[in-house]
Amino acid sequence: MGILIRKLFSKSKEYLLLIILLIISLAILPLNNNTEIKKIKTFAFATFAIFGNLFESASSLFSSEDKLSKLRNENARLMLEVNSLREYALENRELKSLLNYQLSSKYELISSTIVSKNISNTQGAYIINAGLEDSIRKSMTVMNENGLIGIVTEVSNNFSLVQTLTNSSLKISATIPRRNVNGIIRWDGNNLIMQNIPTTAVINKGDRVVTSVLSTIFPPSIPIGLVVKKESNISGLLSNVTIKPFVDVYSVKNVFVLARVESTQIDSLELNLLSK
Amino acid sequence: MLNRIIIPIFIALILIALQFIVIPFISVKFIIPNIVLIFVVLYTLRYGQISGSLFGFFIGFFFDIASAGFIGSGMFAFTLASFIAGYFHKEDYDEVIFSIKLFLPIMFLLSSLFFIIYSVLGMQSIEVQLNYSIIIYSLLCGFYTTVISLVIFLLPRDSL
Repeated sequence: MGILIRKLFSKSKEYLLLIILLIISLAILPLNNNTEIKKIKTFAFATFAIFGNLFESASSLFSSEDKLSKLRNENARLMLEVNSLREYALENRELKSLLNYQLSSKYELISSTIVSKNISNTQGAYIINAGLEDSIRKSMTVMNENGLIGIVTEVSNNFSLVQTLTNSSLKISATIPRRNVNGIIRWDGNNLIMQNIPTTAVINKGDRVVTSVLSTIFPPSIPIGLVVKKESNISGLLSNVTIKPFVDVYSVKNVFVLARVESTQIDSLELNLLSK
Repeated sequence: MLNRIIIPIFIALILIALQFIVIPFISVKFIIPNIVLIFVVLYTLRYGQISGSLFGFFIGFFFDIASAGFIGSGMFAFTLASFIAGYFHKEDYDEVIFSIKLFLPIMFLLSSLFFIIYSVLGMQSIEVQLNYSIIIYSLLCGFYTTVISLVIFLLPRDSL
C-alpha cells in the first residue's frame, strides 16, 4: 500500500501540488472581507504605496510646470462650474425655503494624487497619497471635476485604497433625475449597468445619471454618466440600462476625496450623547 | 539558492512595482500588458513545472497585495499559468526562449488564460458571467503582453 502511494505520488506530484495550491488560492478568496485579512492588506498596500509615491514625486520633479498648468486649467473649469451651480443653488434655496427645508450638510474637497493603479476589467483600484492624516475615512466618495470615480475602501496613515467604477464589487445607488428612475449601478466587466429597471420607464439615450438621494454612502447628485443603451431582459418586464461614465478612470491622475461633514445639528446631538 | 530563489523573487517584486506604477502609462484604455507574468513564465520555462508553480503561487500573492485586488485571484491565475508553462520546459532552455515561433504562441496562450481567470475570479458577484467581452478583453491583453514580451529578444542571452 505504502509503495503504491509512493509510486502514485512520484508520478503525479506536479498535479497534487497544483491542486493544493489552487485550493489554497480559492479558499483565500472568500476571506477577503475578513477583518484580519483587511488589516494585512492595509499594511501591505501602505508599504507598497511608499514606492509608488517615490516614483510619483520623482516624476513630478520633471513635470511640475506641466502639472501646475493643468491644475490651473482645472481650477478655472471648476470655478466656472461652481458659478453655474451657484445660480442653481440660489434658485434651489428659494424653492427649499418654501418647503421649510434647511440645508444641513457641507462638503470639503481633499485633493490627492494617484500613486498606483490596478487597471483591470473587474478589479479596478487606485492607491492615492492621502490617508488618515489628511482626514480621509472609509466610505468617502472619490471624484474629479467630471464626476464620480469611486469610493475609499481602506485607509492607512498616509495612503488610501480606492475602488473605482470599474470594480465589479462596487454598487452605486443612482437615479436618472429627468425621468425620476432609481436603480443600482454596477460594472459588468465591460460597461456600467443600471439593472432591473421597469421596461415601462421612459429612458432615452443621453439622459444624465447621478448618485441617488437614497444612497447612504454617496452624497446625492454627483454626476456618474450618460445613458447610451437600454435593453430588455428575457422576460421583457425589466430592462438594463448601459451608462457611459463621465470620467475616464484609466487616464485619471489627480482626484478629490469628498470629506462629507455631517450636519452640525447631528454632530452636536452626538456630542451631547457622548458627554452623558 | 541565491540564483534560483532570492534573485528571482527580488526581480519579481521590482516588476510588480513597475506593473502598477509605470505600466498604466502604456495602457490602451483597460488593455494592459502583464510584465510580471512574462517573468513568471520565463522562470518556469527555465526551472520546470514544480518550481514554476510554487514561484507563480507566491508571486501571485504579492501581486494581489500590491494590486489591492482580491487576494487569491492572482495566486490562482499565476499558479495555473506557470503550471501550464511547465509543459514547455526543456533542459535546453535557450531552445524555447529564443525561438520566436515557439515562445510567442506560448506567451499568448498563457497570458490570455491568465487574464480570463483573473477577470472571472475578480468578479465577486453571484452573477459571474464568462461573457464575450471578457474573452475579447483577455485576448487583447494577452496579445499586448506577447508584444511586450518581445523585449526579451533584445536582451543579451547571458542575462536571461
